[in-house]
Amino acid sequence: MSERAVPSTRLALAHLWVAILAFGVAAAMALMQALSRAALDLPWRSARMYYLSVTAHGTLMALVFTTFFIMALGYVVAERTLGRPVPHRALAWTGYWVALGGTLATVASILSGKATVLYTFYPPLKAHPAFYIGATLLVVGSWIWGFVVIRSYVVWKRGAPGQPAPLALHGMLATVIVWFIATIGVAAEMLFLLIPWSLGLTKTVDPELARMLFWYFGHPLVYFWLLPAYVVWYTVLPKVAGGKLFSDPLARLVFILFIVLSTPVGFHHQFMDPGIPASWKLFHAILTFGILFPSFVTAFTVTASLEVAGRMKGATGLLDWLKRLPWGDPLVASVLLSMLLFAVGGFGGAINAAYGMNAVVHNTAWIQGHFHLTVGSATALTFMGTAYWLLPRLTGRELELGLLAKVQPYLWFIGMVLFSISNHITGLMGMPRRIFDASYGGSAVAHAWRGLTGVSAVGGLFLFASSAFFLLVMLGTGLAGKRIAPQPIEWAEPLEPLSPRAGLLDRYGLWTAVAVLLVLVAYAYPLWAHLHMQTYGSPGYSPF
Amino acid sequence: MTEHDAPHTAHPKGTLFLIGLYGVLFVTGWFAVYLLVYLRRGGVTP
Amino acid sequence: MNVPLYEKIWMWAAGAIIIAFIAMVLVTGVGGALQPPSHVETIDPTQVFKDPRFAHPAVTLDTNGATVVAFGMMFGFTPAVIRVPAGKPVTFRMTSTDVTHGFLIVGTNANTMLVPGYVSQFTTVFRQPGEYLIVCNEYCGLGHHLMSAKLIVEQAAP
Repeated sequence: MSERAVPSTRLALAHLWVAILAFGVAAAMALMQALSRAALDLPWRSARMYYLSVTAHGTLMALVFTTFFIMALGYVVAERTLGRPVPHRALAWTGYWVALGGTLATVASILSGKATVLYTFYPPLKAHPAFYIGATLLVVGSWIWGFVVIRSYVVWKRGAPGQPAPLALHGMLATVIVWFIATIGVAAEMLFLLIPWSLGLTKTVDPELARMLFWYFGHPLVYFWLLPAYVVWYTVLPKVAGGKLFSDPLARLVFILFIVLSTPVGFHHQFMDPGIPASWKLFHAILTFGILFPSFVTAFTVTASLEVAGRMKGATGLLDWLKRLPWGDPLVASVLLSMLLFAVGGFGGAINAAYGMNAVVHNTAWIQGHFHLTVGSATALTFMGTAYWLLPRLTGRELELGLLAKVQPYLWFIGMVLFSISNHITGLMGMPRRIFDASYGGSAVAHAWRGLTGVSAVGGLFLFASSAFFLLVMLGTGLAGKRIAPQPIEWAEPLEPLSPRAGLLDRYGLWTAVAVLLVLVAYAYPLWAHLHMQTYGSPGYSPF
Repeated sequence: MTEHDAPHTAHPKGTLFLIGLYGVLFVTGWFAVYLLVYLRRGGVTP
Repeated sequence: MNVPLYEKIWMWAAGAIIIAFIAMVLVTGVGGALQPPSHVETIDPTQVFKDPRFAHPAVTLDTNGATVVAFGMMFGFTPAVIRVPAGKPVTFRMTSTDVTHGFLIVGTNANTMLVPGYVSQFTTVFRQPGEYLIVCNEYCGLGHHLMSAKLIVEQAAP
């Protein structure tokens, strides 16, 4: 298609660079935490620096790196699957600057020590207003991005009636829909509770209401991170590995199930909260188990696509195809290792979700162990692998320092195994998460955690080395990569030819309506009951 | 050889083996933590 | 939808796994009443010291067991040493006077959030006498890692 030669890439690149730089700052913050946990007596080690760095690391990784990377990928997918530039380009750039301005305000408030509230920012811990306003602007910028991606599809659809969206775009549309539904919660928390309160317009805030709104947003946020990674697993990985997508319709089904099930599950983060009746927690727990299903299906479909790749290269026997996969390719290695880590992460998630059993792990080190396998590996490692594939294709430059790019995913894997497994175990032993010091006045119970916190710190060093390699490759490629002929961005073909007619799984309006209905079932009554209960607000505190 | 006889369109037996093994470990591990850690530590009632 | 046979097998197995998990949670949760702390009761967080429910944080023993009334406050728990009998139901009633704290008795399933404005309540039995570490497991400020207390489970008097 001749149109494919023209799309502009500056928009995607601008977002990608913000993501990469945010990742770099966040990685440096993580190093400080790892060393702090190892209880090394370093001169700059202080509780103030530790909690500040946890806030900066969480915010920059979980909110800034992910969101900007996903926006970049969204624009690439919208342009390259449809073969035409995205519409409303001026608006799209406005969204970029709004999100970037918001990010800078939030980061400035954190680094100046006025917003050490961690990235969950539970009131009545009270940050500088710039923290909340900046974070809200980041979300507003992402809404503009979501609007532009949807409009790309709508405009294309007019010229192609009855055709299904290409699978990568299907996954991105699901991401955008999940994000729109999810961010209603955090927008309400920010606009009605936290921003007026931090500006002094209201005196108090209801902390439990804020937690309910936060986790209404907080769990689908997880799928906002995960679905773009699944887009890469389904539509890029099989191609780069030399195979075909095992099943296109099942992949479509998976994305639709995430639209429907992502949001009405938030109470599973609040099992240990007072103020929410047990029956509603149980309802959310059951739906949470349901959301295991699309990930189980993904595990099969993506693995089978890799088996197809190996067999197309002549593999025979039960598992020989594994050896035929290009393990030296940075994208393939990143994604395969991120899948392995996510296999363990999914197992941990099924334990977190199990209602009463959540007491065993809630707010222990297990949790940080868990989400470094999910957002920290399934998402972050996949995104790094994607960046190795994407950056040369967007800039027309050859990937520099290729050896570092080959080694980096393996370093991440080793680091994450050390970090994460040790945190899972100390969590089961009762060590809380997010603590500057784990000695508890020489308590014997706490002493038993010590060896494992050391292992976790060693894992942190591996992860930091891996992050540094990633940054060197990115900067080397972006600033000094050799100019080459532009390589195409190609998507995996399905094993069975794609149906030319859009079907039930391509009806986004319908599935959005189903999702909204389920959200109403899961949240309308508990929220209504909460608002009609006699509650007492809390004044703000800034103990940092 | 037609497309349908090609080895890569045969049933993905390796995948079923690996994913099946994962399923077994997943269930075993989950029930192990449920029974041997959670229930052994003693329940909490609201 | 045409689903390949082997994937169909896996999808049925995955469905069975999910139903087994839900069944286990329902059997122990509804059947055995093992549920997370989900008490719904509110309190004015600025008046905790004056509120009759929390004016005297202490352990009250009765013939059936004990009731612990306690609160979290930056950066400690009151009372800082809690003595309860072994083998008998102990009901905890707790809240926070300032920010959100956590309450975890290490090595047990006693784990709850202390959210200002709300009363957390749950009942459990400590079978093993001994000394337990109580920690705050929700970030509450720069002294978060210092916030701890002691639970002493005593063998019931003969």
